[in-house]
Amino acid sequence: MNSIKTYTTAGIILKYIPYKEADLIVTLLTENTGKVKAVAQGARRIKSKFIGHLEPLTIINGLLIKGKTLDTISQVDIKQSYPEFYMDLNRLSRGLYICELVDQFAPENEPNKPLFRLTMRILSILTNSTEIDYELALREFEFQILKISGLMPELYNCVSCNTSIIPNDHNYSAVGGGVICTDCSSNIQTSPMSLSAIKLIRFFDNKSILEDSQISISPETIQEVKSLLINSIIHWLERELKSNNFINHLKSLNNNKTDLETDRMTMKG
Amino acid sequence: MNYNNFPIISDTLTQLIDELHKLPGIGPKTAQRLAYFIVRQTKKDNDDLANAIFSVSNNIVYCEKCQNISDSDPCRICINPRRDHSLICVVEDPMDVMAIEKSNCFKGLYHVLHGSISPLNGIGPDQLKIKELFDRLKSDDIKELIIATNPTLQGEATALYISNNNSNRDIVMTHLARGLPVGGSLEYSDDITLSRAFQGRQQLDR
Repeated sequence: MNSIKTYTTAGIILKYIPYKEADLIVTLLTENTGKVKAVAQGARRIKSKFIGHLEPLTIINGLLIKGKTLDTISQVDIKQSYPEFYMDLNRLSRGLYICELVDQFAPENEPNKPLFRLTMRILSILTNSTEIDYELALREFEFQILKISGLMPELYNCVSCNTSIIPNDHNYSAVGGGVICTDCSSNIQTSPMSLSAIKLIRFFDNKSILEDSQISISPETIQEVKSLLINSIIHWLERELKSNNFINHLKSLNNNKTDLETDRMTMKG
Repeated sequence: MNYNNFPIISDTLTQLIDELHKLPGIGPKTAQRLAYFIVRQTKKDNDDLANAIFSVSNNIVYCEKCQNISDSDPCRICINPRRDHSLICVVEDPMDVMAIEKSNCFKGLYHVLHGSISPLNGIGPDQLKIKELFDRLKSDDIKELIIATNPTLQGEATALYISNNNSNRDIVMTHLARGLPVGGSLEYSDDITLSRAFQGRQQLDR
């Protein structure tokens, strides 16, 4: 006799794709079994019991049936939803960026509780903080996801000559895997890395902003750290991050709007 | 799947199976079944099917105003004088236009975006007909823009993007009510739908 193997788990919905007439294939990061792909039958019908429960960035409690290739979602209850994402395109774009990073870095069916806890924490910060605070937290998220995946950049010794990094401006190589001292930088393709950027990433390694630390960092340093970490992420994934392109698009629109407002104010003055 | 490795099947039939297999949701076995069904059909039925496919690829155009698929440009809805030309309903797909038209509840014009913003799939505003919508809002005399994108995260992202970037501030922007579907069950409603249903509650007639 065949026995149906079911399991209950909390999960974060990362994405879904349409499947067959009215089904969805949902990708979720579960607390106990890592990233899982599961079919939600009839989920696209307007009167489905799954409607509204399987949108990305929703935290669910689900009953799933184990399958050979894909699991099947049997029951879903929303543990936490974030209406903030439905009202603010900037937050939403960052939320989807988190989903893409988790989807890309988490291997299927491998339990990864640290990643689950990290993702839960960053979603909470993203929906409850100001832009400068969540941008800083996102940089730590990028660093931590590399660290959890065993791809942490080297911050303390030069990746080329292995000498200890002295407190100064240096260079960074995504291909080399970390900080490069000024003597070695001519041999490898690098990006400049300021002392404050090194300090900030080291801070991510030792303490955690995600655990209620209150520090003040300049937007320029946050932007610098972002470009360095993104280089590493793209290097390891061997692909561009689609959601990051959308974030850049929104940023350029916001900058244009700010310029227009400034021009208007100047003309009035 | 390439069936050229199976010489027992005729080349013509193999080509038909290959073409049918390209359709969404059609696997190799279904493609074979459909091909054999077509073989058994009368010549007239097959000619009608072939003509319908032929005329779709030759006669269907996109309406320059609303971007909907149509037999003519501008489409029948856009040139109809009995429709309210000051109202535009923005939808994701041509199928949405058909659904709203079937309900017979809207007499304005449409704008079809041909998708929704989906950063995870690399679909941004530039891949949709959003620029055409903004151009239309600048040039035409529009009083209200009704955003009828799907009530999904992608649909909401599209609605937010349009509302944030529409430079014509004289146009009233609305979106379809969110709430409980007829025949649905409160027990299975999600938090966001339920809270919006409460926000949009209506007084009962006495």
